[in-house]
Amino acid sequence: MRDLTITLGHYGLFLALATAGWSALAAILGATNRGKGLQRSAEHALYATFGLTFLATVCLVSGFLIDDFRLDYVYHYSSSSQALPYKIGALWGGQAGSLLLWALFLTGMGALMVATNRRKNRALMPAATAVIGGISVFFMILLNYFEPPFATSAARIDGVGLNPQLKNYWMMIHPPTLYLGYVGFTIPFAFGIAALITRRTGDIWFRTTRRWTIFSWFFLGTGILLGSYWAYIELGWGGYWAWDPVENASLMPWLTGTAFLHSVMIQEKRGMLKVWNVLLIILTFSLSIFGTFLTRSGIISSVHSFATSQIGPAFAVFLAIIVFGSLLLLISRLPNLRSEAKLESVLSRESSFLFNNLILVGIAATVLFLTTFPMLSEAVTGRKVTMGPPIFNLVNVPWAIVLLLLAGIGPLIAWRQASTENLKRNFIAPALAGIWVFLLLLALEPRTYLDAFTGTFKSLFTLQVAPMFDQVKTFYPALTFGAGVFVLATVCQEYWRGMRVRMHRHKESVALAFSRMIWRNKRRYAGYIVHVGIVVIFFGIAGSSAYQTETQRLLEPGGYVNIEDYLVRYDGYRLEAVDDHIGAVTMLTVFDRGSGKELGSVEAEQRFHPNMQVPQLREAFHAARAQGVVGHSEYEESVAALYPLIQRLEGSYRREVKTPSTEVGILASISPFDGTRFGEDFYVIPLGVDPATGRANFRVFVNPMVNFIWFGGLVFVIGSLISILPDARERRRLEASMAIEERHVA
Amino acid sequence: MQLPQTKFVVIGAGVVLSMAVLVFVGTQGSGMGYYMTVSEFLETPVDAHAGMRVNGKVVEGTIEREATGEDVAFQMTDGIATLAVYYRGIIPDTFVDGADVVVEGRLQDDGVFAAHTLLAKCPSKYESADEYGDATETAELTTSE
Repeated sequence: MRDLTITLGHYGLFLALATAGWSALAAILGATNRGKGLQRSAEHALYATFGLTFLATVCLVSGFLIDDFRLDYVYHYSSSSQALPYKIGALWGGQAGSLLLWALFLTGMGALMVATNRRKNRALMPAATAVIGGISVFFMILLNYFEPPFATSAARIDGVGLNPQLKNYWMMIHPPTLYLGYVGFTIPFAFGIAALITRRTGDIWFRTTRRWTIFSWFFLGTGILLGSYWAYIELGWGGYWAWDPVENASLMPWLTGTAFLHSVMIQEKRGMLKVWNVLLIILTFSLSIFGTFLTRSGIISSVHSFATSQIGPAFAVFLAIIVFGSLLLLISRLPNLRSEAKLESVLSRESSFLFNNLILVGIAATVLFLTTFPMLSEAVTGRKVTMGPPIFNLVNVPWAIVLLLLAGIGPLIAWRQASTENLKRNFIAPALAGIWVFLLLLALEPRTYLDAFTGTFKSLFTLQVAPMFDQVKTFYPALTFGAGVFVLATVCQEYWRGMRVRMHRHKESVALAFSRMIWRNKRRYAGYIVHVGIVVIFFGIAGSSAYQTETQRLLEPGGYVNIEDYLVRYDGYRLEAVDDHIGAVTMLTVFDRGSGKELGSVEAEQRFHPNMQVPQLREAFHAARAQGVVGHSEYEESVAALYPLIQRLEGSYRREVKTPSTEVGILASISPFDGTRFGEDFYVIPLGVDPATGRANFRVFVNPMVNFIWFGGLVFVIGSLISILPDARERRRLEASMAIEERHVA
Repeated sequence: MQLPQTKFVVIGAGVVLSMAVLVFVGTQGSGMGYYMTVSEFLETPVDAHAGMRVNGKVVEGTIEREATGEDVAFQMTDGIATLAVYYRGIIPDTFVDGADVVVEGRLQDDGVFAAHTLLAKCPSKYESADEYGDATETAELTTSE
């Protein structure tokens, strides 16, 4: 039975390489006169590739489930004591499994693309099939010859286990979510390329893949949010974003994807930006591949890089083919991509979308430059450099705020040329609201802002850019809140106007008008919801980065300490041996400092994962863990005895036999009754806990408004999900475009 | 070219230029740091140390963690030279034997590097784990090293 799964998986992948190759080849042949009818065969081959990849995935997962430690991959990322969800999640804990999952998603989406286009887009399908087939071939080559997931060695008793930091619920769903996003852009990319090849460069290719694009963009965005949430609750440094290469890798395609979603609207409406739109989807897909490459190759040292490998050169070649091949094709099709209209005014929706695109792509470009600079520098000058978060913030924050402002302007400003009437009607009230909030925030701390204001001009006159931005920085939170309120006000105004019309015309109630309005025009009103989500995320980022505080205290059990607005009592601790770790769980009770009211209790844990390869330690650990059910005091004693044992073993082995990890304790104020504390986190990390006395060294962060990021993320998810639902209006538009195109071709 | 397009191109060029300037300014400041290997660092005169980061691997068995949980002494090496480091602050969970680390701080008169920043990257994760057999085997292993 065991041998069967390994054999099936191994040969399944090999056959998948063959079927993927055939799908690409048959699609190309099918497009010529000679191979008529082969297109169907190519499409069936994509189904087969998916089936075989699925089979291989099932085989690998079953290897995890039955603890088949002959499989190198299972041995490295699982152990017999690993909890069931992590045995499954270990599938993407390492290189080969991650690539397998990528391939599974890719072929799955390819199959879905074939299934949904059986009777549609017959002109574009051959080229799209060939592109998907070709990309699948690349991943199958990696899986068969570079990183075979079914490599085996002699039987082993137990596995090494997943890296403790990855054992987290959010970390388990974060990579698949990101991969879905990365992979999903393949479909619009394939259709974009197909449009170029067939010279059908109208709006069919992106209209027909609109929901694919939103789907990928949604998963990528959600993946980024989950990743930052994981970093926040797991890495224990009080932050959620560090401009780490891996984070940047996922942000870049999301930014260009966002630009793409906006700029296609201009082509739909005005027939402009045809070259730019193709370029954006090429860029987005290339950045997705580049993101996978950065994450999986470990080429740039990243603080939480879990991967190092030899697949770098293969990816580099593949990426070069994608980028240069697509660009050459694009250049050869330039005559087919002429714009049908011209920009008529800088004060127009076209131009505000263009600026939005410029900033999004500009930010993506600077992030790309700053992320890859260390690699280039080392290759060219041999000097190793690091790029710290301050540079990224210096460059990106000011333009991100302008981008936020544009989110309020873009949807409301008139097409072609905005009249004074249009500007007055749409922007006076929201602008006043935004300015009012901005000034109010300035008035709260007039001294600080006055100093920053004069400081800015002092540096400006002496032409010192860096010190000037140090001063300007002071205004970022107030500017963000002002711009955000402006956007929220425009959205409210739009919703209210739309609802009022419905209520008058159809005599509908407020709630009915609200829901019908969104339902009838999902794209527009769900788009606004996404904007609201982004604004709330901006609020969370501004609040938590500007007003975070950090404190450190050494406490004995029973001790009290004041931290900001909180009074904290360290109640005590308990020792435990569970799953694959021992730990000291500290328990704290948090009170409001002013009123003394109890706010809640928090548990934070310092863990050690004993190295299970050390026989003595493994036995002692399992013995202690087994006592968990017997009696409390004996259990604690045997756990406590593990600490000196570890120390002794480390002395004799002369190396560490434990891997530390920390479980942060978070008390979130997310009830509407929390008043000024709303959205704030009390975030505690036990740096060190003495297992004998419980004396503990705590580091405490107070992160105001940080929960706005997760609230905003939720709103983003809701808005994106609504806009992804089937929409009658969109379907009619697509059918109309197809009819026009058919007439053109005929 | 028509006027609106010219206007847009001018403003757009301004946006791009400002980003380029900001990137340039950023790389001149403290955000970007060069880092050296241990031996390069030890060869550099002390007065050129400012803002330097040192990169190396944690020598196995040299980690001495104190009970505070935020003080640690260890040695790092690039295979040629070794540097004794003392660090106080949040110790990343990835800081383990053999981890690839980058430290930032200054060299004290006693030859110990006092670090205020410690970045650590997991070593190629447990790959040497096979070295642990039974105790005798490992004892041989450590003496032969």
